[in-house]
Amino acid sequence: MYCVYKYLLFTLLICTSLSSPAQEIQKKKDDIRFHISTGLNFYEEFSQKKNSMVMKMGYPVFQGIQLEVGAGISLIGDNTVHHINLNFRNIPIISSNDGLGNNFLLQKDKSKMTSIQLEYQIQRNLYKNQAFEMDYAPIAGTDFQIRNLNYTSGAKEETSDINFFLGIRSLPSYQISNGITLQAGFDSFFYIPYLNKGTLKKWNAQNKQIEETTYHAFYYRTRLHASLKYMTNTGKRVRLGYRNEKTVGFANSKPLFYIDKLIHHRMNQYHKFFLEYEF
Amino acid sequence: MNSKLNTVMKNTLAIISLTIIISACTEFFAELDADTDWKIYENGPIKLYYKKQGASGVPSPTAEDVESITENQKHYYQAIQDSIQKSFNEPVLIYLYNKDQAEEAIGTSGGGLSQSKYMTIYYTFIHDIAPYTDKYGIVNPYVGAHEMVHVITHNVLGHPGTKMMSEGYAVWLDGSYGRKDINYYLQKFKKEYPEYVLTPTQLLNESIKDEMIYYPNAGILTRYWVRTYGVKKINRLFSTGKDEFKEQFKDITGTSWDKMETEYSSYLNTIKNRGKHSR
Repeated sequence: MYCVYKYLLFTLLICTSLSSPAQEIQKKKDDIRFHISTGLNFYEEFSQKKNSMVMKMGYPVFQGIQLEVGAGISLIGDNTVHHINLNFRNIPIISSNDGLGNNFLLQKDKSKMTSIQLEYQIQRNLYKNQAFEMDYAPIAGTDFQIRNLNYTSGAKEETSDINFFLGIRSLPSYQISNGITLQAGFDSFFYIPYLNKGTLKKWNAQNKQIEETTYHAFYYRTRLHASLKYMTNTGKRVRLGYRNEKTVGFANSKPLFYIDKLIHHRMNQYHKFFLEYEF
Repeated sequence: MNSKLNTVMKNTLAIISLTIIISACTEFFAELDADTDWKIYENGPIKLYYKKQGASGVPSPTAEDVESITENQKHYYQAIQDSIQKSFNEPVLIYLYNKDQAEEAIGTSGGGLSQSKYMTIYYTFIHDIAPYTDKYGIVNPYVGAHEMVHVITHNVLGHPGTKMMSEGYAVWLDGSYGRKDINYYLQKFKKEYPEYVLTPTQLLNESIKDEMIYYPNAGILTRYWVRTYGVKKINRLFSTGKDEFKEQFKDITGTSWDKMETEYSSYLNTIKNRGKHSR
């Protein structure tokens, strides 16, 4: 809960900053830019081996390689840059790993996951000193995900959920040379249970549905990122980067901030490698 | 002056936000403990992961322990399916922690927990465990049937709608709590703490949180229901939620909740401690 209070305090401070009339932010031309991106993500969804705080996640793990494509638009104003991004992700094969490399649990060819994420962020400058800039961006978005797990006996589980999240990004950058900028930072996102809904369905090995339960998730997601951006003479930009993304949290039958009737959880980690072209 | 104040405020904000962002990581909620230091022993559907000798300050399971644990679990695996008249064909993974590692890794050093989505049991290996023969005739089992019941029932009957049914099935099918027959608790409660003999309504409402009171009572009630109404009918109540439970109970068994409570009270008075295990 300490972390939640800190987050709320931070959001409050950011709001104060947003409403501040005097901004010493570098004026930029009104502009519209587009970007397209692609990426390869390594997904791991851990089991929850300790339920009490601090929770522990460990083996076995569901894992797979995720393909990602995305597109976005940036509206560049005087003091702010508005970004709208849409990403589509798919894991065509999910297998399990017991920690020793064995997949005892899943029929991997029949287990898959698809997700779509739409996010909106307002980027502003917080601090600038020569080649170093510190930008921040409050962010809001929706996250739709559907995952099918087919167990070895033929039993199946499907979870589908739509979630609304709020967060904050930090975007420190350092201009290494005229055309090359290094950017790294840390983002955090909260998924509010009152705004999220999911459904878990289960079928037994005889393909008879044995369960359909709704759930409301309270997740916390963090993203550590680093990238190199190269700007061409014509103003086009290419960015190559890495993101380490972790999501932890639980989903109850009712929207709650604590575990009551645990239906579902996310305890996952992504290692993401991406390439982006901005024009 | 105003501009100077604004700069100071922004710099302060930058420092605060950086501190918060860097510290606001998922480790506040959940830690990754991806332990791969396991030996594996496979016995049919049972996959036992255990620590090699010398892995910690207390003895790890010997080769004989490993064999007997997996044999016992295989026995429970089949007996549970027979008792609930449902088939289950998934492998079950058992991660067995040495006693001095278990508290940190799984949150208990006196038992364990299960994750039915991962077909997994996390359990403590106590090499100098108290002597006990369970209702299946197994002498000094290191790992009982309780967690195996959770894995199987949650997968074949669905997500439990109440703690009463989830723990009721586990204790009924294990036959014990804390390595003592459930009838022992009933006799003790009747003689010394009559207020600890819980009615079905108290169990449904989870009016007592103490597991040592709640679990044996839930097991005895489930055993009574299965004997009285048959396991097929009681299985249908497994995923029923608390709010609909009484009505569903009447629809499925044909007996009103109030009538059942009266009959159950009479049944409890007839139970005598014969010092033997009772199925």
